Amino acid sequence: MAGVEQIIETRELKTTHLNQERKANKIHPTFSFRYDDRADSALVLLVQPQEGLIVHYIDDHIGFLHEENSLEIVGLRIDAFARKFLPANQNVQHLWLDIKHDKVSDFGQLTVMFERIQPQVIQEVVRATWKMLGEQGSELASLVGISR
Amino acid sequence: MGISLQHSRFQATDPRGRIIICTLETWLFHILSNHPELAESADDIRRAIEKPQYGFIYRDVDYENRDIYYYRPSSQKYSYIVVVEFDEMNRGEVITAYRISKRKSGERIIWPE
Repeated sequence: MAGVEQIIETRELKTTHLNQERKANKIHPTFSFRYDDRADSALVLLVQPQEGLIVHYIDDHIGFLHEENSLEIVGLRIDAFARKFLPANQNVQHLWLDIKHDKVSDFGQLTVMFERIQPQVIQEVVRATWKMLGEQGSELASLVGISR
Repeated sequence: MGISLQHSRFQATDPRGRIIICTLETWLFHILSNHPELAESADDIRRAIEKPQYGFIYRDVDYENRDIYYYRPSSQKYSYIVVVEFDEMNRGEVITAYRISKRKSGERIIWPE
């Protein structure tokens, strides 16, 4: 079943773009967090993708998002985000509940609030996952300002 | 007359004979919004359901009512993954679809039984 199990080795995935972004010392202009409530999955983009995205799972819930041809890592996908990831990661859950609950009264406010805390959510997501992501996880941690 | 988002983008029948639809809403707001590179991939996604890789259907790691279908186009370094949710009547609806280069190890084969 090699055709489906693992098509690309994890060590083949590259972090050149993550490094370049970190060295450019940008204030995270390209960070993006998207949540699909139907699939219960979260997409964290740390670098603006230049190609189509592919998911490379590291375990049953977390995978790298990488570009199709360059194999550059640009972010993370987290499945069962509300069902499993949030209950297991209180810091992320607190931020998430701030968005979802009564502190927000209308859609405009929701958008503003989400824009404001998006970098925090991303940082906490990376903080909760980077150690299980191997060498490439360290690059993600550096990019969002987590000291290793 | 307008087209409702509940209209199907496509319909497929899996190897068990179960009918599965992908609504326009799912296609636009749950697949293309996150993966615009799949704009021309509806036929591949339908094929994953109709003729999954090696004939296998998997059960989702977290949801007992969701099944997983894979299809790897020849000479490509990825597989399509299609997540389908079934109701109590075994009617299926595509929840999401994207491409992977390594799948989850915890999914178990449920078909063939």
